[in-house]
Amino acid sequence: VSRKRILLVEDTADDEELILRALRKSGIDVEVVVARDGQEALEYLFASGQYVGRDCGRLPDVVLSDLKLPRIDGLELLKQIRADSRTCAVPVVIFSSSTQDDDLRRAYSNGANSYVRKPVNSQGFLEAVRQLGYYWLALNELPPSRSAVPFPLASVSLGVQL
Amino acid sequence: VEDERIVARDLTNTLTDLGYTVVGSVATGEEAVQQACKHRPNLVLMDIRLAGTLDGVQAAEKIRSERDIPVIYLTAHSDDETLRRARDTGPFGYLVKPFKAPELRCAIEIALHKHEIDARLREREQWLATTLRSIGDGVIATDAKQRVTLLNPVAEALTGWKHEEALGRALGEIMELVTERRCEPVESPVARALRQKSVTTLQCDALLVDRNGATVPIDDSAAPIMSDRGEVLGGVIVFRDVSERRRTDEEIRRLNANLEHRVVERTQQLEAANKELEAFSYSVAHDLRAPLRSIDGFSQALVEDHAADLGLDGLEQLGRVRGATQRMSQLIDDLLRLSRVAQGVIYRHPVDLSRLARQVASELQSAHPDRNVAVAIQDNLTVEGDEKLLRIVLENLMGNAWKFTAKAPQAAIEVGALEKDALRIYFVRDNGAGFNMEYAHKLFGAFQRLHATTEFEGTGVGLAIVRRIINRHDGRIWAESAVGQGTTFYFVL
Repeated sequence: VSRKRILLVEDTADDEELILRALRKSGIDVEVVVARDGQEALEYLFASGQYVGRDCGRLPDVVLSDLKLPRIDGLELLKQIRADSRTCAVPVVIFSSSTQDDDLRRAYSNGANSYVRKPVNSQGFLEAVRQLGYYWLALNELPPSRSAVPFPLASVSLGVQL
Repeated sequence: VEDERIVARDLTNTLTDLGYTVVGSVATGEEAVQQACKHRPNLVLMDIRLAGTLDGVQAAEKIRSERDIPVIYLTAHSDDETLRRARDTGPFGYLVKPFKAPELRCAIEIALHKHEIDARLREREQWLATTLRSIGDGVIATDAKQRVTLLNPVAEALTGWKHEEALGRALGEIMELVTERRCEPVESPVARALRQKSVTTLQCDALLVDRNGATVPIDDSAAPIMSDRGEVLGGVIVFRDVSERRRTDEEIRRLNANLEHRVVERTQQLEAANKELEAFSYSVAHDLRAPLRSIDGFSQALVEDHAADLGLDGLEQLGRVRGATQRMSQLIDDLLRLSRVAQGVIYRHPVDLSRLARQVASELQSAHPDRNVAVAIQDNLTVEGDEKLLRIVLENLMGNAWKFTAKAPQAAIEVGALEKDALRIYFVRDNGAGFNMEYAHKLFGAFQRLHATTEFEGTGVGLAIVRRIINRHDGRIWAESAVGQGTTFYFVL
């Protein structure tokens, strides 16, 4: 069994390090691919740009994305992931500072699997990352062969309406 | 006036016997004019044939032109020529000599009476003429065939015709009316008034074309003049220049349109400002938290990775850094809540305050399991309002009560309602620290605190939020307190 993999979409270097640190401290063994914005994340997912030649059949177990990002923001990234049959079943978790109702609503209506607020408090932050890692990497089961999931079926599971 | 002395004396006696006073008896026309002007008698009895240069008819004419004194001719002559000349001077009677006293008396009384009626009629005409002249509207009168009989000065000014020139002309010639839009001829309201024998008005916006071809918008009404027997004697039209009123109407329309435009503009500006504010709060929410997270996270990393190098002193100082980040984080959260409360829509439904208060109390208890507070909540406190927002009110008021009773030996909080002046007043009461009412005005201001942070924690935003929520329910909130005596917050919704 290959090592679990997170695609972390985070433009703040501090947050990136705090997340990596929290994962390490929680003893979660995971490969973290960091994309600085939505554009980089898409390049990784679809093996284009700097990731040309990557085996794009290998998808991350979870995409952990900030909302406010340069170039392509978290919401747009989410839409594009859901719009493509190759990636539409990838779990996407929004990990953001924002608690705005609108952000929550938009995230869920565009098919986010989860929305977690980044705690300011370091204990809270550690705990959030630990639980996210535990849930999405250890507990959560992914569809058997994601590329084989027919698009319409996948889109059914996305219709989260708030 | 009698040039035959004996006749004059007889007449004087007769008149005196009849009860009249004879102020003078003269023999010539010149004397007659002079005496009449001097004594101003009620009546002159005038012989026609007189000695001297003026005969009676000429003298009567002179008297009439100088003084309004009625004249009765007394003469032996009744030939047609004399009669015609006499008639032309407008006499009030004509007695042919010889006559008897009763005839004289009758002639005098009729003359006096007729003269009085004449005078009254003249006064009345004068009054009418003055009224018509001074009226602010144009007035034109016509006979039954719509020929002009009168034009007042305003009508003269509006039509460009003088009264004298207009007399006898057809009304249509003096007063040409056309429709405002297509300049088609409009039937004169007088014609209609005469036909219908009732008051009429113009049925559309009409323009009056004056003698020089210039037009002016007018508004008018016309009425027939009827005799007692119902015959149409003529018509009268009253009209006015409405260009000023039109201008005013136009100005009002323009101002209204302008006002609407400005309201729309301001609304757009306000909406833009609101959007900007939302964007601002969003940035605050998102961007101010990130650095705080770094400060706290890396302080913690220091503690974990370099505790030995920092020493106890360093660790304690780092603890302060972390405490400050938590407070700042709380401030940001409160600020955001305050701005959200100010903007959102209020949803009014019946809300069970008692139930909300019990929920809040149990949350407070589980957050502070070590505290022992006696909470009394009155049942059936039902209000109309926004449940989510009213919950925030109770969270803040009861949270404050909870906080400020921390040092009270037997902490007690009471939530209830009372009636005063037909007003239902809700209250949250505690027996905690209280405050000096001198500072009550600072109570509801954002970031205002009445206690040192070291004594009681808080950002000073809670009550500002509470007041905003109450205000948004068109309600009112106030407090009563004394240091060491506890505090009661009252509010009406």
